[in-house]
Amino acid sequence: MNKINSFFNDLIAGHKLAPELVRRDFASRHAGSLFGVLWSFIQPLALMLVMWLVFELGFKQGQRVDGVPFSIWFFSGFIAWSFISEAILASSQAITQYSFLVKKVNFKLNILVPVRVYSSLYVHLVFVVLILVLAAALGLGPTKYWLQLPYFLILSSLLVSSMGWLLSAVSVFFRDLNQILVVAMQVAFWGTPVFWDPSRLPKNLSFLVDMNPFYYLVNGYRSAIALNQWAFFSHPSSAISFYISLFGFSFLGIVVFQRLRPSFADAI
Amino acid sequence: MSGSIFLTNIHKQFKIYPSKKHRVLEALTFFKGKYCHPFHALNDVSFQISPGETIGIIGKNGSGKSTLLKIICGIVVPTSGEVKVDGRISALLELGAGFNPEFTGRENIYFTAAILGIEKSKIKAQIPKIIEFANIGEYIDQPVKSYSSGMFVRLAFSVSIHVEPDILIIDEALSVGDMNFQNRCFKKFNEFRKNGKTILFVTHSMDTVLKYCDRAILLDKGQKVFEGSPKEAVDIYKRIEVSLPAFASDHEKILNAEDVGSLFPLSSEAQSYGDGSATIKNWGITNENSEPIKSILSDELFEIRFEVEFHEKVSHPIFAYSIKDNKGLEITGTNSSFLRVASGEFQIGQIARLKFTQKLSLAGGPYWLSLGCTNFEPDFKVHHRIYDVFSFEALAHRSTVGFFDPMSEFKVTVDNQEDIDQGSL
Repeated sequence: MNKINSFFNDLIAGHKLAPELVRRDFASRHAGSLFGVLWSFIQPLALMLVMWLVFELGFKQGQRVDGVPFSIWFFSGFIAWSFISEAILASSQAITQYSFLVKKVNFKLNILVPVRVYSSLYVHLVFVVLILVLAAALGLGPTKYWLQLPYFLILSSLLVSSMGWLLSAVSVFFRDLNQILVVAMQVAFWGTPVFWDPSRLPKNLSFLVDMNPFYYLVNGYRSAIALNQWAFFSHPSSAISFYISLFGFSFLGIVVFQRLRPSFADAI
Repeated sequence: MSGSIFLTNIHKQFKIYPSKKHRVLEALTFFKGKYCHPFHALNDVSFQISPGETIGIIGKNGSGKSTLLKIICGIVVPTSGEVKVDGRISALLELGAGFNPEFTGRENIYFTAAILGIEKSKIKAQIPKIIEFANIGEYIDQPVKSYSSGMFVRLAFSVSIHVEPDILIIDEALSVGDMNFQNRCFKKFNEFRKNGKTILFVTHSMDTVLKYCDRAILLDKGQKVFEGSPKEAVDIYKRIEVSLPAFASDHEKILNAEDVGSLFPLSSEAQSYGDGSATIKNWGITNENSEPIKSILSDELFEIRFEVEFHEKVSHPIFAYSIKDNKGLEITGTNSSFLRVASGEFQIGQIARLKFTQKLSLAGGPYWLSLGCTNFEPDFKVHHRIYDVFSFEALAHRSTVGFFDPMSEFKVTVDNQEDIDQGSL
């Protein structure tokens, strides 16, 4: 209990530094490159452009059955997914990539995970704005359902942070984890209904989708922007399994992080 | 009071794994300690440091100095024992702690200050001073990766002293800067001491310990061997350096020249030649008590010893030594002829044991010893001569200009006033 207390004390103390750390984290990822920050947007933009060209123009899948343009339906889920996967990959390396803060100064390290999440969040917010502008331009909003977005945004941040603490602590001792994660996120992209419609899944397999905590978030974004539905508790089993995983990962993340923290400097 | 450090029974054990695989195996299974072998970096180390003290921590490589500093800084967590530190620590561990090479000097200053919890406005006011002390001028707005190693250290050092620490910790960093910068640093240290701030040094430069420290702590193989006056600590360190136990037993004091020789291996730089009629061997330097030493103190007698074995009958050879500095400049030297000692006749197989006893007030630094056995009768012959046999260190209590310490005393007198005794600076 004491350890958990000190975890939160460190975290709160660390937040004073967060703006400076986020600014640097963001800048250091692109330091030395000419276009700098732009690169954070180019990769997801390119993917979205390709998807749009292929499916909207190529396969003429412009309209879905429920009348929502495919691009909005896909992009709304995809931005949620790309934030989640980007933040998980970045925060899992939060400790190993800041090894100088482990080895050379006495630093409250647990803030580094939220810092990584915040800097992914920054890119994410730009995409949220872009997609809302696009939706409005296509005559799909603004709607009251958009108000759900902050809720899902905060939940996404909490989930990826708790996973980040767990993964960043373990990856200090097990460097292969980052490679494994890259593969795992690829698998999870296709395993989560980001690109495909879960309603097409056989009924007896739909529990698999409900168990996936990412689906609650992806579906939340999609409901808010494309489907015009309330998604807080529209699929109760999905919401419940999300909250179970959120608390499970938070507890596990904090306990494991606090437990391994004293050995970071020995192992890094 | 801020600036004090208490360490009580500190142990630090590192787990050494044969490979990464074993580390993971141990983490995942219940066989604790089965896959690793422990390494004791520190063993029951306790000491206290009061505010305003300047402490030197000395010891050979791998004696646990750096681990100890990291424990004081809170970076490494001890396996057992208690650490209590009051006040803000500014540590210069290894080089340029925490600088990101892609960022400019100025950005790195802000970041370092932010990590230490210093407000931006406060550090902003210090920046001109930091730049001036580091003497890097407009490079402050260039990425740190473009800095020379000297500039890098100067900036790192300058930052660490301008963040208003209560405790300043320096690990081997100063040896990189030039003389000018080192002087400025030591001036700053004196200022720190006057303001009652604590300074902790880790260094291999015994000069620095003798000149600046109030107290020294000597570590060997993870244990505190000695704590007390720098002079004594350096003496003991010199014994440890040549792998003798820290405290001499009576038995060891009666070392003969043969034992000495093995402690001073022939350097790879050495040049040896001669007509083959004699061989120089078993060389070494000892103190007055016949204990081998690797470094000489400016105010203490020491002995240069060597042996010459004769392979032919030789009469009236001259035995000589000379001392060069690191640049190869001959500083001094003498021989048995200058000293007006007739050496006599030597038969085949006879061994002459030679001993030169002297005091040398050399400026601190490394020096090289050359030995020779020559002859002028009937004309000049070199029986055997070895240049740069081995190197040794001279330790000076105070700084001087040039090659040697004139051992001056100094006094100022002003008219119509009582004498002001300045003592020795």
